[in-house]
Amino acid sequence: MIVARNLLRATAAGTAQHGAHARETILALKWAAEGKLDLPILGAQKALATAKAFGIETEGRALNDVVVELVDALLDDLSRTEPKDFKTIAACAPPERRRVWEALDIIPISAYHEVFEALHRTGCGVDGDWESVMRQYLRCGLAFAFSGVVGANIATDCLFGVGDRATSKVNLGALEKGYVNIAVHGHLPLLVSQIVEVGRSEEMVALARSKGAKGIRFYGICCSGLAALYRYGGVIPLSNALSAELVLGTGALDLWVADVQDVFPAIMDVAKCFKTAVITTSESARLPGAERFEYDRKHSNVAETKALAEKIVRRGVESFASRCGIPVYIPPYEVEAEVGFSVEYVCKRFGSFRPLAEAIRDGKILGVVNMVGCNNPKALYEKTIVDVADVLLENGVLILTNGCASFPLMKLGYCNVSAASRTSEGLRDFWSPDLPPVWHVGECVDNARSSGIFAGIANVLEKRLCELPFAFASPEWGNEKGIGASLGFRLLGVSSYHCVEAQIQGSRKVIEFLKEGTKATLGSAMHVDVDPIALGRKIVGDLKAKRKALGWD
Amino acid sequence: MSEQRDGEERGEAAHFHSHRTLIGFDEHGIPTVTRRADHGDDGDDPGAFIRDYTKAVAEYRKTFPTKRDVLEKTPDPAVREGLLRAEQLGIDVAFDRFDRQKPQCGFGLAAFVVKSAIWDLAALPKKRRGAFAGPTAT
Repeated sequence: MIVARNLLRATAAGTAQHGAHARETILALKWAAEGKLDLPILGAQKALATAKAFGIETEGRALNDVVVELVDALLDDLSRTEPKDFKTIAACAPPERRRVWEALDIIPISAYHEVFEALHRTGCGVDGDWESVMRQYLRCGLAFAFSGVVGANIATDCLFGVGDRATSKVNLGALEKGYVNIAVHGHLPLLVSQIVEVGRSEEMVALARSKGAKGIRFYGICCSGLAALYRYGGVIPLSNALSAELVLGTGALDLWVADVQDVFPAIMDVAKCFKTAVITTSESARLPGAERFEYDRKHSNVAETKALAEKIVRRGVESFASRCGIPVYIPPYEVEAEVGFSVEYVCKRFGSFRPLAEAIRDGKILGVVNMVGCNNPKALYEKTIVDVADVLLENGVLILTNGCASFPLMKLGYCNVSAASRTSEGLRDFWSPDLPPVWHVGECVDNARSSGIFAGIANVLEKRLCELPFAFASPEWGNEKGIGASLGFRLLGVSSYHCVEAQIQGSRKVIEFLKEGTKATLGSAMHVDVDPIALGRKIVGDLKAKRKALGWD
Repeated sequence: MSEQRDGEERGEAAHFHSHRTLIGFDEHGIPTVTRRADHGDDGDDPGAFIRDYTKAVAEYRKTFPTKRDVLEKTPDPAVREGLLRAEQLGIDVAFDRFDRQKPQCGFGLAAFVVKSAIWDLAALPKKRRGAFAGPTAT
């Protein structure tokens, strides 16, 4: 009971974190459509297609009106109090899954409500039935997936565009001395998009040059930057959150712009050593010693986004000018990575989902694994992810990746076209000439892209997700969002695989529920093995068993 | 139950310990379901499970890497060089702090922390209550 309560509270926290990311992004889309925020809606096609799926009339209506109606539906799912249909699930979830969730009575009232209710029922002397606590855990999982992830993804793609596949330099070697070097760290796309745009303006570049710099360059830490990368370019991914201190330790950064989530307070000490200015931009996430250039609690200054972005870039230039003589050491490692894969890109590259689905059915591709998640000092840093990936690639698995876990895969060449040589021989032709065997789909809320690719394949093959050779792996997962991410895929019927155990060892009932109990209801379970090679083999074995059950092998 | 215990007596280490026939822990303390339950709590000795998982958490902690392990084995040379540079400059990084945290709290790792159950201890089997008599029960 105690373990179940703690697990639910952690899941509720993760739902709130992704939910807060979704909230700002959905509101930004609304304000852009209403004209309160001076930003174009770049993903008109995505907005119209999504609105249709939501049953919103699009014919003969102005785009902005359609967008406002879509946004109101997303916000309603995020925050309603009165029990009504959860619209994003009705529009986006497979009908088979809706029936499963209805039978379990786990379709959320709204994300806010389920988090609120999770905290309510785990409070003093409320819910004493562990099974009922676990049912609430499943509700939070759906709220996490459909408001936090799908909602955020819809809003990001509508406002900033789906983007396209792009080639980017990655790793610390891409840092260059002599430029105004600005890092963006965190998750929220709105202000970052404007900082990058302002930083490219002639006025700002001229200002940087007047201070002796060669120009202005932007770098991404954690998810910030990943979203920007394939939409408007010019942000170079350097590192996930766990080694942010090492990026600062190069001494090459003039300005560090942090918004929310996975920004550790310890960065302040390292920044101080190298006179790197640190700015926080959200009232939700302040750091003692950092300068605040932030949206207020009510976003009342959101109309001044461009001015805020300009102030931030100017602060970067000023910092550059005052940091003369700071020692810089840049480890000389950089590599190119292919990024920006999406449902739309798959359709563009292959014409439809059919060629990909048939390659899976015919055994050229053994299966598809969405490999994501944070890092965790409990598992050997980045090696755990890479070791699992090696086993999967040798066995002909297609890997989708995003977020923190994608950094070692990008930095070590797995997202490069040349990595096709690391895969099974029969598959190399399929990747040739232009595809890497690891497809980078973006930031952590882009798990919606991975589930979209899973659904696209399942539709062609006319199978349920839980029957297909799909898996979710977050080998080094570490924070509360990680619980929701793996649960979100298990709710879809895709089993999850990890090298870090959840905090469940104290309850045999919770252990049994997570590792066995959901097989019958959801068609999926959670597997943990601290040995990454053994975990990789377990995934391969389970994918093969699924293929056999389908009569494919 | 007998399968696991027999195995143990014969010196087979695949599951170093088990409780009843349902839950076992692998050699690294990771819980696994060894046989699916088709009934509720069978009234077995709850103390046995506490002993099992306490030992499992202790084994699990042994798998946590040290900063030295990361320096030697993490695959990205830029990370290794960055770590060495930080060490030379006396800069504290996340891996230093993780080492200093050791040994991590066993109650926390098992989520057996009752901060949201002040007056709920009666719901625990008698043998478990003693563990929460102190400040953890607040």
